[in-house]
Amino acid sequence: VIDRLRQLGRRRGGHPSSRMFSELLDDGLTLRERADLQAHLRSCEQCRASFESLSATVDALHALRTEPAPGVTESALAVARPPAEDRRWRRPGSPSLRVLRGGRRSARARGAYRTWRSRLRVVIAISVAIGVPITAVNQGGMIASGRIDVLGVCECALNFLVPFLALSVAAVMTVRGPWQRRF
Amino acid sequence: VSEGKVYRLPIAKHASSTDDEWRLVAQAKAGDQRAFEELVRGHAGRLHGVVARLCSDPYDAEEVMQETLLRAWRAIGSFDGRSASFTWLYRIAVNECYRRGRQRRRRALLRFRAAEDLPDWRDAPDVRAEVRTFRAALEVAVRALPMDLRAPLVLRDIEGLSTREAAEIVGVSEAAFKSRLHRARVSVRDAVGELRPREGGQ
Repeated sequence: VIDRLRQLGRRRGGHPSSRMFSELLDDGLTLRERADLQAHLRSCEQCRASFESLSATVDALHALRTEPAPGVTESALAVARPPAEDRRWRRPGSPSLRVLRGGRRSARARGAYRTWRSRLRVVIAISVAIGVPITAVNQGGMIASGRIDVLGVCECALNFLVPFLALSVAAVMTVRGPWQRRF
Repeated sequence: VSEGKVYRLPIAKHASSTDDEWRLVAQAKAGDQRAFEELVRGHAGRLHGVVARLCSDPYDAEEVMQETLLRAWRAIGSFDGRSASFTWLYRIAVNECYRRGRQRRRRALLRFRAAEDLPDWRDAPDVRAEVRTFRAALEVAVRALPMDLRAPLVLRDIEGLSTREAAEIVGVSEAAFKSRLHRARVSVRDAVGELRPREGGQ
């Protein structure tokens, strides 16, 4: 299949595809293909110019290779040195670092809210779906008669509130916050 | 075209893992941090060269280096030795560069910092003025490539790894790699266009 594709790629309006030039540069052609291509390059001004510009570019690119900058390795190693577990989970010990805990706590709260928010939509939808039929069955009479009293309204509210709270507790128990995630 | 000239690039000197390196890998897997550092030290200089070209600025490059070494240390236990250790390390680094590139794009941070931290070829000794301009233009052209084309070009043409190694690092098949590499070359060639010095003096 590859050979077939190569054959297809070879000729485009009589000229080899420029992909072949790259293959020639990388020594990726068979002997025969190489001989064919070189013969063509000798005879075709246009292709030769194209090939030579590509080859000059590749040569020049290779000259861009710079010597490693000194010190980069050591500084990166120094940062990476205390193994991952220590670095990530070390509790701030000194009093000055303890101030940072406040920030960490609020970051946790934000993280918790973000994971919670996606579940909030589901919890609300389900508790409404449960609350509506319960209300219709239990307080349907009151609503239909139009005699609205305070107790009835409270009962209606409970129909929604109880499933909401129960589902919330269930959802929170399934949440694994970002602070619990170990990697 | 001169007869029989093969434009093969010199393969970087760390092309294969030596016994010595395997010993270090084994020690590092057993939790010996010194062995790990020694292992990494051999490659990190060159690795930084790659990372610096794949990242948008030197600060990013430094962070990627740190993150790469951290990840490598954490993952050394699962390094199965099917590839050379430097391929493995490069792969972690290139993945990290990709990840950061995506993050950057999402956040659409400052884009016009790219030019200020390119290697400065003005100080390079015994290089003609037009070649210096050309190299600077090349650097800009390489930076302008999209990430999936830039990584093949940097690994293969600038760093001189073999096609097989570089394809493994990028995580694509050799055929796909060659195609990307070619597109990158053509795009760089077209970008530098007229600046190319005449008789190819380096």
